[in-house]
Amino acid sequence: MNRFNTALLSALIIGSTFTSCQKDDDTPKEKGAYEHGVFIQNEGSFGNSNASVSFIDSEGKTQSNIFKTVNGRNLGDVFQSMMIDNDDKAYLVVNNSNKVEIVNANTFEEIGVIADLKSPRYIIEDGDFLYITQWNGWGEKGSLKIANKNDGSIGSTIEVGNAPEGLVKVNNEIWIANSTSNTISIVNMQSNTLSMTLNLPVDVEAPKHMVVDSDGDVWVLCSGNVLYDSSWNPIGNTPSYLIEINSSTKKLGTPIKLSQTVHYSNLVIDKNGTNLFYGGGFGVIGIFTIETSGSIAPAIPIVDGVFYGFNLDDEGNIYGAIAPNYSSNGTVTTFDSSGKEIAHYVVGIGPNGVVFSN
Amino acid sequence: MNIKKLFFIVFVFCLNQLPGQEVSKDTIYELINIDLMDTRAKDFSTGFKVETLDKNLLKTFSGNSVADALSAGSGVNIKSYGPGGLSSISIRGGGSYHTAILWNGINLQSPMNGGLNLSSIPMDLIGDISLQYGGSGSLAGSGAAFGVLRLSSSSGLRKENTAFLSSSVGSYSNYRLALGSNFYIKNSLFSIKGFYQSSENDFEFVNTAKFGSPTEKQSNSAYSQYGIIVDNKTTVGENTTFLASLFFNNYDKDIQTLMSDYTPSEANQVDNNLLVTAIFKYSKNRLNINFKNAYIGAKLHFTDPMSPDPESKSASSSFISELESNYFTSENQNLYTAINYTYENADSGGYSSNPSRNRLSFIAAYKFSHLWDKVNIALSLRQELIDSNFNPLQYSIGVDGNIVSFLDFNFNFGKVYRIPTMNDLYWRETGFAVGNPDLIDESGYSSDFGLTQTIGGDFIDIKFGQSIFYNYINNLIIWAQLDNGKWKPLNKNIGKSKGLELSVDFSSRIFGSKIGIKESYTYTDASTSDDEGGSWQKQVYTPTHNSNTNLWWEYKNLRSDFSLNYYSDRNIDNAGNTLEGYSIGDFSVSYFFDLKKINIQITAKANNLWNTQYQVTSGYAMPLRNYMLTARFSI
Repeated sequence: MNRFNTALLSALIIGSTFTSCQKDDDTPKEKGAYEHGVFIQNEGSFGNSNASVSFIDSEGKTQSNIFKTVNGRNLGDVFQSMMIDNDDKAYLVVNNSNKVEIVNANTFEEIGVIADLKSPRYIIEDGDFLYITQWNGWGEKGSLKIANKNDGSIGSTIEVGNAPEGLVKVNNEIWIANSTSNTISIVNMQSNTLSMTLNLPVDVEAPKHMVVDSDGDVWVLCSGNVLYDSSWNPIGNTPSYLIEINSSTKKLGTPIKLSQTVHYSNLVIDKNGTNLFYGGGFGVIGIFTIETSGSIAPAIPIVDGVFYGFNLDDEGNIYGAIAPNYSSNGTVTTFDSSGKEIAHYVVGIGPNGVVFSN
Repeated sequence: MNIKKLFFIVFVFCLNQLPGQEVSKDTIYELINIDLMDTRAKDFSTGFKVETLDKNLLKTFSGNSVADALSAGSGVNIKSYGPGGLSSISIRGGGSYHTAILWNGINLQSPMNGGLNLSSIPMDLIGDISLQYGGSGSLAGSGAAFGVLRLSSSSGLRKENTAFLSSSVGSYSNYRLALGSNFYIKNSLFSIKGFYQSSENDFEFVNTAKFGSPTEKQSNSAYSQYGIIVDNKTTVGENTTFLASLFFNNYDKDIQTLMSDYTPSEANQVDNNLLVTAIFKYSKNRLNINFKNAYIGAKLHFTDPMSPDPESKSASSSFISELESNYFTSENQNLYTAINYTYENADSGGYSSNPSRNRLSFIAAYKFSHLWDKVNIALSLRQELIDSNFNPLQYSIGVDGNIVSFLDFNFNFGKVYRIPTMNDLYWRETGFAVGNPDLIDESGYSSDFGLTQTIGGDFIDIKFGQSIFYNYINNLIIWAQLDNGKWKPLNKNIGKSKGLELSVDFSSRIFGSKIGIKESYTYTDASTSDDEGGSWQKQVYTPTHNSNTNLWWEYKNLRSDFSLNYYSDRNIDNAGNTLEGYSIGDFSVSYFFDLKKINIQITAKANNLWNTQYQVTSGYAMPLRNYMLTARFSI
């Protein structure tokens, strides 16, 4: 027996002795260092492979770059989005690395990777499957990739519109916002086929994100666009809108105009499914809230400031991610439901989103 | 090529053939090198630490680029995006655009972005490389804030009627062929060289950025290049010499896939560069007059189907004309004056128009040599006018000399500056970025003090060197994100750099062989901040410690070289993320012999001897151990 094996055996014996001496109790074992807290998606700077994950624990202490701390390597280039499933697996979509990293959400230890992707954006899960939007090449039609959760293999690829972004599951369908086609693709989850494409009204452009309200209807945030002349000089804007779509009849509601010139990029709904929060994005000032029964956009934000991304916890507290640039650390500021500042945290480069542990 | 450029080139080379007086060939067999092309470097680098790379070492890099030679043969920091990829130089903690890169005295830094890819300059076309540590705005102009890299073209005009052919084969399907000739026609000496090189560059590496650390082959990293350089020297009369050179280079490079990327890159970049220079030299009694003219043209074509802008083209042109005189007022004093006119223009899809600018510089310098038989002092001034705006006056003082027989010293202090690039000034407004025509120059100063001790004997030569330096730059131009989300260049930061350089150069002759060790170590503390009272961030990609060791041995027809480079951890951003330090060693052995009248040199080279897994730039893989075999035939 070599020295390593001897040491390992000794450690096991000593460990089991301590274990056997411990008194049994009903206190649930901690699943890992990251079981309770908030994950911050730090996009990093394009081309530098310095994307990272920051973690704010339940006591408000911050840990930076936990993926590298645990796994000994950088996460990759441009961290786009993250999702935690019911099995406590976290899926980290790394856009410019064309991959989804799979880690244990409690320990952040690497489990696997989903490759064979081309510019992936957002991910959701259902049962044994993962649904991932991806852009493909510039100007090409986007795709919905369906991957097997067990082994990460890609089972189906469904062509959707151009530059697909956010996606939601409603009824037995996956809805995908095609940001440059100005359409919503609807995929039947039984047959894994494109069942319908909804066209948005003229002038309602750049659908980015969707949420499902308490009635089961889908709300779409359409960011609008900056208009350019042939020399790429900006000459105007199309407005940003919220639009409600009946998930059963697919009937579009009346678009709610948010702004003529400001292009909001983030949409979140509270846990009751009755209040929408929109705002944030590239240089966008303010986070606003509107009830799902509302029809007029508020003039005053609930939180002032330039947030690259934000999210709401179950208590209605707002976590706003601030990215001052793409070369130094960003911050996250938390606010209560009235917009009063609670706390401030230093995180990694380019924080673009906030995900809560299960 | 338009009519103006064609006329200019034809004019330059037709002038060469003007009949002149037949003169002794002995007066012609001179070296066309940096001394002849760059008066300011020759006469006014007083007080600066200047390092000239060992010519014998450079010979072992004949199949490599200037970036490779500088990495292995000097103490400067080369940032590289992989083999053949974009490589830039950093001296004493400055950015790549803070080191002027002069080719035969002409600044090659791009007016569009202030940079130059040193991977695209093959060593086949280089005669000499020297490094000036420390900046000098008055002598080298904009961009020479932390140092100057001086390259000179072929030194092949030593003999008439010579020719060579050199070929290499190396790892990763790396093939190279270079050939050239020197010949004499009437009163003109010519040197013509051409080369072609290609490499699949598909090296194997352990991908530590991916799950499971798989061993992979680098994808989309092939490159090929070809080029030609022509040098000419014609003695027109007893006092007049005409020097001309033409350099053309085509560089076709696939942009290598990032280590973390699961989809191979499809990006590619093709660069075409043209440099033409023509210099009239007149010397009589105490007066030397030079009239220099140069054209620099650069074209870039970038394609990437995955990019929002899948194809982009850009081009820039610079016309430079300089009249300089150097008058010796006495045996040990000389007055230098020059007027330099530079016209720059650029054409890019990134600009809403084709910007141009006119730059006019007035330069004066005075030098006292051998004061008290021991001390040299050089003072210099530069006033630059850009379009209708005067830049602040630049000045510098340099002093060097001998304290006691074995101890020399050098000191210099000077103002430095860097004008904004055209990208900074004229980038068209989009939803994401906008240029800033209101930018002002980066400005600051550079200073250092050094000592050297030389010990010589019949069998041993030892030279020790110690330098301390301090550089300060204000109004650093940083692309920052505005409240409206757009990126815009601003005069935002301050930069400081201080440090220490130590060197030992030892050589000895024992039992008919020669051995030598050249060791240099640099400690650099470089940082930037928004303001003096703010927090200071370590300068990215600047190692605190780096060292370079060259060990060589010569015996009869055999020479071997071993080089060892060490770089400590480097910050890759201002968020505290770092790249691990690394050390790599290279070894080469050359054998020289004659076969009838043909001189033959065979060189075998092994790089990265102990298979270090390392990254120079975050996310870009570097090759493990690799080899190259070169044969050179000359007559």
